[in-house]
Amino acid sequence: MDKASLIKTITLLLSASALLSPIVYGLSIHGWNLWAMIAPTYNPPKIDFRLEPSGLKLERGRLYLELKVTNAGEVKVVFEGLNAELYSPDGRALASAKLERAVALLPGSTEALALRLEVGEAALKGLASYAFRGLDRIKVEVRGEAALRVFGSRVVAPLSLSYELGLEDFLRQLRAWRP
Amino acid sequence: MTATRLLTLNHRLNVLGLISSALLLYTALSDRPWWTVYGGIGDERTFSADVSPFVVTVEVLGKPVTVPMLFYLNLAARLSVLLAAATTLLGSLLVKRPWSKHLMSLKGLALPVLFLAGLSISLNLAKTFAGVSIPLVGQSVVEFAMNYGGFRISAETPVTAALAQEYWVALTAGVLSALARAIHGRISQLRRATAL
Repeated sequence: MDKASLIKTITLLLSASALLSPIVYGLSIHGWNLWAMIAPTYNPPKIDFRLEPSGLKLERGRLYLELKVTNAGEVKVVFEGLNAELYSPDGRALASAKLERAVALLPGSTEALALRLEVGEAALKGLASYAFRGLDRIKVEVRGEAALRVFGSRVVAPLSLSYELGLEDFLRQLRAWRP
Repeated sequence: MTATRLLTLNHRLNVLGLISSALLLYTALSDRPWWTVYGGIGDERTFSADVSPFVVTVEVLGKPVTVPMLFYLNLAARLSVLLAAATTLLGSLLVKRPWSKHLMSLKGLALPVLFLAGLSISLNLAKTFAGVSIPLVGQSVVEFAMNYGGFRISAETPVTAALAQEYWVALTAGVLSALARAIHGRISQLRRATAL
């Protein structure tokens, strides 16, 4: 064998061993289990939050529905927007609700979301009719969409929750709002 | 002929080979990424990936994604490029030996080309199978939807991707090593012509 062929063979062998040795070594460490070598390992952080209505509030001539939101997950969540409709038990739209300012929630924290309510005349009549029927509470469905920012992504999630609305309290708030 | 004489210091050294082996050595020992991609708004990163043939770091929602095979593939790539740098250096110093041409490696050029090709194929596969459109270079918005707790949740993430300076250094090293090998071939031709 001449020198050129010898050099060629040696470089080829060295190249092959540089390329293959780490992979063979890795396979031997993982018990020759190829799946264990190529399967990704990932433990995603928990993303979880709970929303519950906490009541009505009148502030500077505006009516708000307050929601208590608890971040039970491991990442910061920012509520950037929330648009919802409130529906009566018979499916009638009572009011529209809108989040006026973004609310940031650190993991484990609880904050209040104040949704500004826009109540129409028809809805008022409907609510009054429930009161005239002697009902002091009705179950209100809140349905809409929440716009969140989670770890740099904008997320739009549907929202659905129910709320026991005290009619007396609600009408009293409305009377104060619309004297 | 004059250029060949100049670049080999009158057939004593392969200057381009020396430069390319130095750049290959730097490339192989550097842990900096060749390609970076991140998704998110402001300082918040939904995901990020720093990729080079020698190190791959992927994080999703602040948590690392690990694939054991990648460590060994990265090690194989690093050893291969170190070997290429060493043989190119040796070949460049031993220009006068007729067998030194076989020491001039082209792996330095193959790696950046294969890296870019592999990246393009992977991004196309991600688009085809996962519907996630990540650019090779530039910005885009990745939109995806998922089912969570019986609800359909949609999400969008601005994505920025770029080839880093390290990639261009590696490509320069590769191109120089190819030129160095061509010069070596030219010297061999001249030597044979002189011998005849």
